[in-house]
Amino acid sequence: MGVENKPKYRKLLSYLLFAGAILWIAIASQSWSDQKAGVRPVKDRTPVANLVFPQLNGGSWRLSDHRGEVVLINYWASWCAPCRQETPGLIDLARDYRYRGLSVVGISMDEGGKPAVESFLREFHLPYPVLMPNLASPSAPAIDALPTTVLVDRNGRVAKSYVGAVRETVFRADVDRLLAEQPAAPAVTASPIRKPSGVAHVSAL
Amino acid sequence: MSRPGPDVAAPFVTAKPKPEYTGEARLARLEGSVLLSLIVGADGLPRDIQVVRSLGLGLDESAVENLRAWQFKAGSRNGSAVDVLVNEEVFFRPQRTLWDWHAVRAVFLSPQSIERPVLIQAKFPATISVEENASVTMTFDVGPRGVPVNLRVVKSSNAKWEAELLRAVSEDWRFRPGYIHAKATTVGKPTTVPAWFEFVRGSHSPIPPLPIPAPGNP
Repeated sequence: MGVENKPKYRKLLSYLLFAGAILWIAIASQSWSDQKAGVRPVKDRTPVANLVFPQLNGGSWRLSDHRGEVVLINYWASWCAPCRQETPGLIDLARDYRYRGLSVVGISMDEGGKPAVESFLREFHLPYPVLMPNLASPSAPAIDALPTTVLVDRNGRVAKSYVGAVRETVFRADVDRLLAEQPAAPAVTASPIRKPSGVAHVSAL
Repeated sequence: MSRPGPDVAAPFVTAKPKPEYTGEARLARLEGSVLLSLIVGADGLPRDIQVVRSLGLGLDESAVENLRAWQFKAGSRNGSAVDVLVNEEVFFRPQRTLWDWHAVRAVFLSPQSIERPVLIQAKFPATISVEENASVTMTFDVGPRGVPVNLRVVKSSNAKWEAELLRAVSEDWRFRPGYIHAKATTVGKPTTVPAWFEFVRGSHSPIPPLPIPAPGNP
């Protein structure tokens, strides 16, 4: 009798495994925030104040140095689970678009400086600059939740901001659209060239 | 003690087992990481493990135990293995869907002389499919009978989420109370312990204030 029932059990087992796989896919697919609304129309975009933050490996990173590029600014912290979920997609994005006009930069919101993030960095080997603002400073980023990502167009305007972990495919679609836009020609003025006016945070989220 | 740098190669993790959830952390769906400092010896073994950033509900202790079982290739200087001081994180992520409420921080604001409360029952508001990241941070006191009282929302992303969470914690969360022990050997006396909990739905984490203020002194 046991032998006769074996194929039946096998069939039942395969059904259960299949149902389990479907359930797993359903659960896994729900752990992302899609934020599928596209980038803002050009007329609705607001300029970003110049960002200047110290880099983890020395020196400063300035947003103004990246005018003409699309810039993806990702605020993260090592303790933030969704940031960890999102980071591999950002790494792929940074590598794939490195020579296509996209700059990715990560801004750590960890306290405690480099030691606080070293474990995260050893694990992920981020191929893009990591900035560590002084969180006690008045110029610290005004961010309430992580990850927060700001996509800046070629002309230094906020084209989209995202709160929560975002799928790589969503980033790619938005970046592709911004890369297809042409940078505005620089205005010809008689006024002298000024240096960037100091440190500021993203004020147009 | 060496730290990783231009002259010192960092130790390399070769194997790490999955950390164990505690019962109360699972009840609270507590998600996040414990940051630890440790020395990876020239023999590749971890020692002197200290919690740098706590997560709570027993996960700090679980993280320390987990880290003891990690395997490392030792750090080196000029090709020779050396002791290196590093930080590592042990990550905990409960089984949940995107819009399930879950805790991301659980802190009891009591002196070390008081044995902290232990969560023994927890129920969250039903998960609804509204696609909105939300967070609610609240303080409350765990009374001598283990019931949360004096609940107060410190911060929330939108006031509409507050009522259902306050109701859930007030009515459906119960603790074994905190205890004061006069001596290590005596039976403790139940006491009130202030708590700070942060809850989230969605794929984000709120940034906590620095430092976490005591209830009543925001």
